[in-house]
Amino acid sequence: MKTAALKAALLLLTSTVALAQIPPLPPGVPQDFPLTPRSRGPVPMQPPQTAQPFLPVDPLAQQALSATASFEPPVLRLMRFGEYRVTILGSSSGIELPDPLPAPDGLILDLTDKAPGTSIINGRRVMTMTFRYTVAAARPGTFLVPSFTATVAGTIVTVPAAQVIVQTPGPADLPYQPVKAVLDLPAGDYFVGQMLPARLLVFDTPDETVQAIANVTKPSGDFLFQSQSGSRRERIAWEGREQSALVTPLRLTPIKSGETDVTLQAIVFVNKLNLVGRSSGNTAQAMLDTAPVRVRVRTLPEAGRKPGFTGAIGKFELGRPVLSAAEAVVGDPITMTVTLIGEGNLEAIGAPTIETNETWQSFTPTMSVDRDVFSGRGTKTITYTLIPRVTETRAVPAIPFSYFDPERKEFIDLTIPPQPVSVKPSGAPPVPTAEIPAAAPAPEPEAASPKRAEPILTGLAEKPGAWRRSPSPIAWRGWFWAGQAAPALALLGLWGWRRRVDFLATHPEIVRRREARAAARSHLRLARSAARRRDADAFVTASIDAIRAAAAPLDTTEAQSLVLQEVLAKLPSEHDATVRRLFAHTHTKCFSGHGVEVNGVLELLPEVQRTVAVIERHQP
Amino acid sequence: MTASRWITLGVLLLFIAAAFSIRSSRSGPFVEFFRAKTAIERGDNQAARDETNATSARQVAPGLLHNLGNAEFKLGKLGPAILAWERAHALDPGFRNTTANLRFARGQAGLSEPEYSWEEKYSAMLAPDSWLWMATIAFWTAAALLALPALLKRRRTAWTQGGAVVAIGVFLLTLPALTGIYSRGKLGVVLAPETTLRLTPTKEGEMLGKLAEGELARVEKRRGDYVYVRAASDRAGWVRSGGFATIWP
Repeated sequence: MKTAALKAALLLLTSTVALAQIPPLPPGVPQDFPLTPRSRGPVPMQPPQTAQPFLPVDPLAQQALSATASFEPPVLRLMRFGEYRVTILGSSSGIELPDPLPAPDGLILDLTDKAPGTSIINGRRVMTMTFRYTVAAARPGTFLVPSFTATVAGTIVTVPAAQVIVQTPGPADLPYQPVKAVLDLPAGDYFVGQMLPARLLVFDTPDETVQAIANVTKPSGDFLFQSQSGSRRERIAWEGREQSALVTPLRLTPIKSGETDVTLQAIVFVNKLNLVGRSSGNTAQAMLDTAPVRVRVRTLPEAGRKPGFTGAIGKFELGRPVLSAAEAVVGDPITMTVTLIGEGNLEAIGAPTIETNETWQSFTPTMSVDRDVFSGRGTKTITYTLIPRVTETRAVPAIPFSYFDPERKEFIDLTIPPQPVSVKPSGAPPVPTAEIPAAAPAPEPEAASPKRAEPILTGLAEKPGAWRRSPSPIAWRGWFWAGQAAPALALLGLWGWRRRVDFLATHPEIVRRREARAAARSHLRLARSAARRRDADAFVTASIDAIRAAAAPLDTTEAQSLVLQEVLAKLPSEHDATVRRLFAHTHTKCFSGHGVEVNGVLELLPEVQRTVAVIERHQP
Repeated sequence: MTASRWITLGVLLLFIAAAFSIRSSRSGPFVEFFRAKTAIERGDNQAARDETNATSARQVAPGLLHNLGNAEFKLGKLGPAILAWERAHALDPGFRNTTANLRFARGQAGLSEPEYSWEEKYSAMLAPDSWLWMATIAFWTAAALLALPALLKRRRTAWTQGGAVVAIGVFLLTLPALTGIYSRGKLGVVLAPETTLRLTPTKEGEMLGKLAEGELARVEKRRGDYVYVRAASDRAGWVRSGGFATIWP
């Protein structure tokens, strides 16, 4: 019990000493800086190092190492972040603390940062190193971080114990304050089509600081809405006091008259602060809605409208119009650049037009806008392309233009004045395109500086080039694809030929049969011819040759060497008589030595043809 | 030289001769070309346009189309001018004056430069016919060099194999260009000012927006007298075919 009481007394003493080491607030820090609980008064802040008088670091004091530990604040509300500090006196390097620290159950300590410094001890300046931990508790109660040892360049240093009391928030405590989003839209009447100078403000609080704004949308209100890229931090005077806020410029354009509420929605990224005002290392993302802002939108007055009004609402000035050339040629285009400078709906302004007439031909002008997103001020550049039609032209005509001033609530005339130009007939030599101010006869010094040459219409082609029937590629015509078939068919034919040749090389009987049939046909033709001539001997010879050719076996045997028996072996018996008679006729003629009876031989022609056909049919 | 080499060389020469014979057979109406050019030079753009249009109905040439574009532009016809220049540019991509005129006209009219895929840019380095002939000759040469030795029962030599590799390489190089040519075939030019994009291919179709004269768009489908086109920024809808012309008809 005694030991416990002693420890408690030591703890209290250590904490008291630690608190005593925190100097008073430096100048410039608000004395009403909120605390948790807010009723406890200002939070002591670490003084800037420059506030201490300069003393040289005492090397002897460096040898006396010691440590302190404390909670800030010593009484913490649940669900809030506090700070646990461990300060090593006597050194700022070579320090090793246990990781993790011996924290009691229910208390979470996260190292946030560590910072070297100096302290004055007994009139001597010594080096220090302070470790800051973010503290959060899971439940109310009293938590004791016990004493532990740290190592400083091999020397053991004992860090004393420290205690923190965690309580549930009471009715006197201020609630947690998240960041707040506000639509900054000045009060007043607006007009349909006017670009409103609106901003989205997200204010920091003692508990949170906003890091970034993303994805701004407009869930309500009859407005055209466009979020601008980029945000910046500003000190904003709001509700009677100056506050830090992240500001995003917006472009809101009412599209309907009447009273309407405008609200915005945005996703913000915040950094949660501890009760000392430092980052706790915890970040969060939240979707915020702004409070509705009621605005009254009116239609533009019909009375007092001036010529050339194309929807411009704001405050504008006209820059000096610039012609691309002081001299022009009939039929050749020139350009005129007009700049409109000011604040308002620059993007929505339609270009005032030059009507095409017998003097000038006009094309639809081109436009571009360059705007500073934060100030809202910008420049609209309108470029006209004009072609003079007659040489009597002396100037580009005036272009009516006017805008509506929402502050003065009246239309202001801003007509673009006529620009003098000299027009020559088309046969004249070309005029070099140097950009000079149209209103001034001589170029100004800045006009002489090198500029990017404007594109011009080039000359005519001197030669026609290759003639063809159509501008389309040849692939668009059928003959091209039909022509692709020629080489394909050639290769295909070659492939077929090769296959046939290879096939016949492995099947020579087919070749021989074909040759035998061809020979038989040839002999039959001779036989028919002989029959027509009534030449019996020639007929018999040709007929026997035809029968022999047809009957020749499919090997290397010569057809002329076949004898009667070999021929008869190839024939059915009913055809024997014709063959025997023909052979008999030949044998008689060859071996008897006298004339042969030829009666009826020539009538054998049909039978010979049938015999040849039968032999061919019976060949394998 | 072996028979296979003779046949291979013969096939190759046949292709080259065919290509050259097609080119050399193009004699055109030079008189009409120079008459139209003279008309433009003396400022009679209307007569020049009529002369050139009559000539181009029969035969066209890049120089003729370039001059037609100049005449149309000076007559205030931006759409027909850009169409003529685009056609001239396709036929002769190396003629810088046509490219400059296209840039000039688009700049003056506030039209953005058309966006092309890398295949289309690659295909625009040469005339489409050059790519097509190159691809054709390379393909059939490679096929012949690979197939003929086997068909003629000849041994493959280093000469035929090397030639086949080169021909296949050339053919592979032409493939992206052929893809680009195919997709460029869908490109067309808006001829009429403020051409209406409609939801349906009918005269009463809901109006979706408008296309500026001279703007490029890609044809996606056709139905009757209407074409479905897609311009820059994915603006798509049906337009009357009379107010729109493809660069390659």
